[in-house]
This record gives sequence, C-alpha cells and structure tokens, in this order.
Amino acid sequence: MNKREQQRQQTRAAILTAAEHVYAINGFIRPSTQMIAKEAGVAHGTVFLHFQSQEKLILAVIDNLGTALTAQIHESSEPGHCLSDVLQTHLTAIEASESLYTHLIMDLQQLPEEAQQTVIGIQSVIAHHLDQVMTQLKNEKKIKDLPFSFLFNTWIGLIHYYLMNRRLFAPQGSVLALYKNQLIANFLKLLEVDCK
Amino acid sequence: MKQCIACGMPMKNVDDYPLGDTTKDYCKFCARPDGSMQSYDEKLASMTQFIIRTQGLNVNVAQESAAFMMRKLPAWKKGDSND
Repeated sequence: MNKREQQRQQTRAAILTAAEHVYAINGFIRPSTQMIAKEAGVAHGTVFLHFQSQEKLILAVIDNLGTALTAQIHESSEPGHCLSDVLQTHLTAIEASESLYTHLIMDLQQLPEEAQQTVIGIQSVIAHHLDQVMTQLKNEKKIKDLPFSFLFNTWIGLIHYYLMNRRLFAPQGSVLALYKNQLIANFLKLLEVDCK
Repeated sequence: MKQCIACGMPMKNVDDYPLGDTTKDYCKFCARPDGSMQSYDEKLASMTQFIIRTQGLNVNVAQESAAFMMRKLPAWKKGDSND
C-alpha cells in the first residue's frame, strides 16, 4: 500500500471514529456533517470525499457497529454455554457500545431501511446462539413450551425498553452496567430454567 | 479460525464443519445432508425461515433481510447462484 492510500484510509477511519463518537452522544438524526468534520479535525468537504452523503456515513457507522457486535457475540460463544452465558454474552457485547446501540434502536424508524436490516442481522446472530441452547432446554422440558420467537422478542423487548428509557433507570451512566445481572436472572426465572 | 463463507459464522471446532470436514469453507448449517454447500436459493429460503421462526417477522421482511445479510458474505457477494 502506498503512502497516499495509507493516508486516505487513516482519514476515512478518523471520520468514522468521529462520527461514532458524535452519534453515540447526540443520536443519528440531529448531528450535521460539519459537527463530524470538526470532531475528526478535517475539512467539511473531506467527509464527502470518503462518504458521498450523510446517509452513507450513517450507514457505514451502523454497519461497523453491526460487524463489531456480531463478531463479539460469535467469538464469545462456546459450545456448552448455558442460557445464562449466552444472555450475558449478548448484553456484554451491547454494553461495549451501549450509547451508540441505544441511539440506533431509538432512531430506527427515521433511518434508512438498511439500518433496520442491520439490526435484524445482529438479532439473527444472537437468535442463532440462543436457539442452540433453548432448543435443548425445551427438549429437556427445563423451559416453558412457548414459541422461540415469543421468548426471543420478550428478551429483546425487555432489553430495548431499559435502554430506550435509560434516563429513567440510569440517568448518569450505563443501564446495562447496573441492570445486566438482574435482567438475566429474572428472565431465567421467568422461563423456569435450571442453568446448573 | 475460518469464518463460514455462506453465513459468516466462525468455525471454531470440528463439529462446526459439514460432516466434520475441516477443508470446507462453509459450516454445517450451510451444507446439504451430503456435505455439499447449499445453493443461493436454498440458503435464502433456510435463512428466511430461520428469521421467521426465531424473530416472528413477516415473510417478505424476513426474505429481504436474509438477502441483505447474504449480500455481504463472500459466497454470495455477486448474488450469483452456487449450484
């Protein structure tokens, strides 16, 4: 790779990092590309040399988030994990990008369709790992006999409710740092699982 | 560690490979019973059904999402059939 290409990639990465930071604080809708250029320390026009539009920049940030979350969930998942371990893996992955993820789900209805599909992709990965464990538990009659999609959507709905109302639950910091263990323990009780 | 070219899942153990064949670049979930790789249409159908079963989504939404996810994976980047 020549020096010019190396510099181009560094600038692109700096813009993406700056955009992630700005969107994590302010959400995806309000910030302007000027704000992101300022945060990245580049000229406003440079943003558009790397990302042709604000929408493409937003989608690149969301795509990066999806890739990071799914990679972390896959990498942390091991055969023999119990349900509690899989739920813990899911929340630990979200917690690492909690603010950005929360804004993604809060702003989803106003974002391009690709953002929705990235969220479905993230959910498909965690659904895959949960499915492996829950199918076995269901066969062993250790969890309630309810459709997987109902149990999965109950879990996602619960987590998203806490994240979207974080001002009510953790105005000063991370909702998941405070509630992660409690949410997992109570969800397991709801399903009547013996994870030992 | 390999990553399945057809669904993106990391293949960490022998059990993750079709019929335990670690020379394959795709995982057991993307293989037919004889160990060969599913075609684009087969994978699209199975991924769509997976999304419907696990997330309860509308069939058209699930199919669009499956196609969106597959477009990013090495096996399907051009959207061409792998029969």
